[in-house]
Amino acid sequence: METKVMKRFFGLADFLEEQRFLEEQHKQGWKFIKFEAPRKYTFEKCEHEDYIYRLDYNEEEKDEEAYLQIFQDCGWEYLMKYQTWYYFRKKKLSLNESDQEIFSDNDSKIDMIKKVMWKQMLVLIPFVLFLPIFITAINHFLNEDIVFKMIWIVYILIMVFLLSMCVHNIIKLNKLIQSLANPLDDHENK
Amino acid sequence: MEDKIKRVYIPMTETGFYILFCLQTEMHGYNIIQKVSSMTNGDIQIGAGTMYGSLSKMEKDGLIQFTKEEGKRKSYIITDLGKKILDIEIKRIERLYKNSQGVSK
Repeated sequence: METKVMKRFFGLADFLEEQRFLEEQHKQGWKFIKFEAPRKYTFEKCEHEDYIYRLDYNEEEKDEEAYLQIFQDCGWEYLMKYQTWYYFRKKKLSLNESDQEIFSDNDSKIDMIKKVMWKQMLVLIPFVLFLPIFITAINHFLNEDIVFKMIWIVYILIMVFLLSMCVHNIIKLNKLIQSLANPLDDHENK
Repeated sequence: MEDKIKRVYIPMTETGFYILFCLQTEMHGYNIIQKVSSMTNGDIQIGAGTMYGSLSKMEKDGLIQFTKEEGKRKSYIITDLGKKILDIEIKRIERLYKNSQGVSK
């Protein structure tokens, strides 16, 4: 079977984009086989078809069999899991449109996004805990030699990058929640 | 504790109501999805993620309890607390309905 590999990066808050990417590939005749971190997607050649791809976030591992069974009963093909993300797909049928979502009401959609957001917030805890050490280190910084300074600058740049990614994710997830909770407000204009 | 549960579950979402209502008899998740679909002429099709999430939440909050596992399907039934909550919700909906009909009391 002919396969292809694509490199794409989707962050914690980009699951909607990732779903769309996988649907687009399937439509073009490439069905999703697997994802390998951080950004490797493998596809296999197939018919050009409309499939729905959905990612669910589930932390309860002990109940996994019952969890997957419900999805299977509802016609979802389980593809793989990556950490706490589960990948599913289902053929799109024009007849049965109400049957094409894993979440049928807003409350459950919002519940899922909140879980993702909490996970992202937990990542922030070490940043806060290390802050005092960080500040003392900055004081020493001024009278250290050049090599030490270089290492510190690189370290700080990496930290700033990670921190801003975290904050970006949290803002994006929060926006998603707001647009689900108040669909009539215009969230795009700003 | 019970007051807290009341505050969370009343008024109930339509999905939540149907799940709790169905679990007056023992059932598993997919049973409930099918039953609700047929009760509502296919208008309400509960999603797999919504069903799984609701069942875990209701079990955690003590409204329903796990009864048995058949194959990989877990069955549940309503608890006394669940019945109480369902009863309050049904009364609320009945009053809503009566008022919408313009009938007093």
